[in-house]
Amino acid sequence: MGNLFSNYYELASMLLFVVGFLILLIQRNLIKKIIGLNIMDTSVFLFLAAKGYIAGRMSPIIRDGVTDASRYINPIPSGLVLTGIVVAVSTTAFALALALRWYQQYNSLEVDWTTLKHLLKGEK
Amino acid sequence: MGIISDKGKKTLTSFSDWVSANSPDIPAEVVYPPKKDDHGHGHDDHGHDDHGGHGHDDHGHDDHCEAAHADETHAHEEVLHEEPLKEASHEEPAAEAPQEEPAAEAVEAPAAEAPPPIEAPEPAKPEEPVSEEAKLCAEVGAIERSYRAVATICGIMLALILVVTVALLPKFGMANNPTVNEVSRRYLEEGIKDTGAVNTVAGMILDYRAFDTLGESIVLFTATITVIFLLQQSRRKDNEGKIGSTEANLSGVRSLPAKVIIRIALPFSLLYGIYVVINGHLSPGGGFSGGTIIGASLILSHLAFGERFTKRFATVDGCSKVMVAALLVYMGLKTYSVYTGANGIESIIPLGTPGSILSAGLIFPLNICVGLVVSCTMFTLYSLFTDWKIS
Repeated sequence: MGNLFSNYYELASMLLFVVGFLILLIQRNLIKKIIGLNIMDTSVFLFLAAKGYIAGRMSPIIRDGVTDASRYINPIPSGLVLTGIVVAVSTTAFALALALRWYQQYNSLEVDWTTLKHLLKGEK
Repeated sequence: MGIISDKGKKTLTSFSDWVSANSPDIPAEVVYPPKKDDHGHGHDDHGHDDHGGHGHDDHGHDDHCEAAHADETHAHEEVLHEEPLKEASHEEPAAEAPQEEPAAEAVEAPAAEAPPPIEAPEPAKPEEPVSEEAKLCAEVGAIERSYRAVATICGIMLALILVVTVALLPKFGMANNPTVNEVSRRYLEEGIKDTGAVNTVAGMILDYRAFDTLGESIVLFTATITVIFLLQQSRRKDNEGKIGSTEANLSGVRSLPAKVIIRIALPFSLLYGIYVVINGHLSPGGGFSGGTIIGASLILSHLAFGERFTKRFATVDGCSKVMVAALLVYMGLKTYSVYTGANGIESIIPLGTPGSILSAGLIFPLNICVGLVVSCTMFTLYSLFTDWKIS
């Protein structure tokens, strides 16, 4: 089994990723799809934060002028999480606005039979 | 649906029943009136009249589809049998809910066999034969079921692959992991000399990788602009049409305790956000986290006191201008630092003593710029989404 159970943060983030991915694929409501996308985002943040952690070390804020790298955790994944959060917020806002326009057009948030039929027949 | 609401019959009790009985036969033009209108004024009234009914058809259309397909054939025969009877006494059906099902089905009957009943003053559009519709319906249902099965199998396989990958990853939290390499060592050991920031993450994202952070801010700005463009149409329509902002949106919540508590908490949350922004190079936080706190405070004030209060200091247009200004200042400052760095010129911006508030060179103003962009983004997105009226 390797390091499956010592890597429980990574394991949890991977399972969250799959949960979000399945919500994104299977749910027909656009808002639920967006929630699934956000769960996927969060799992990636958890994974990155877990990658940056080193047991027994401090947060990467230099204390008392000690610049010994063996006292602090890895600062790079923290910055990457920041980037990820910003992009996640932006895509969520964009997707929600698109969902509102979808609702305005079809009076429904579902991607389903009625909307499909409308899309198929709509252009005549 | 459009036919029914045009007749003013709003007593429809369970729309989903009606949909389940009629789903395969509704002409698409009638179900979705906005499609054939131009997007200006015309579809105002459809949207609002229809909304009450359409909000409820929330699930299971393929299930309905199958059921409807099953009994659609004999339902249709019944309709054909009842046609003469209905023609004979079409003063009799009053505007009660159960009567609408035969009425709607009568609309769907082929126009050649029976003249359009009185419930449908506009002539029913010529439709495709029912069998084709039903075939399409069954086809879509089958596709959707197989799609779900394939999606679930793909998800389970992805989960297995990822779990195996996790099992093969190096152990969690060890110092000799490959992610802990010379880059992070360099940032930690030389960062305070290079950037003057005690917070290595701030030094990293606003000095070593400031171009990346500029890109992030521009992503936020672009998202805001896109949402403004996407929702602008409905906002403008609100100003012209009959619906304006709701009272709760204009003057906040009705609850007095909530107002009092928010009035007490608001200055502290704003102050805390400002503290997090300007201490970004000294402590955890920075422009992004502090900007989010400030944006949340603005949202809270909008929630409690409404638009009449917040429009004095924060509007969508004002926030957009502040964002543009902050991004331009950011670009100007970083252009200077890139120019001096690339040409080996001594920068006039001192790094200061690490740990004091006026240190770390450009990181302090850049944090303020990023905080402004983030807080304005949060507030703008909130007010755009609350301005958008559904009914």
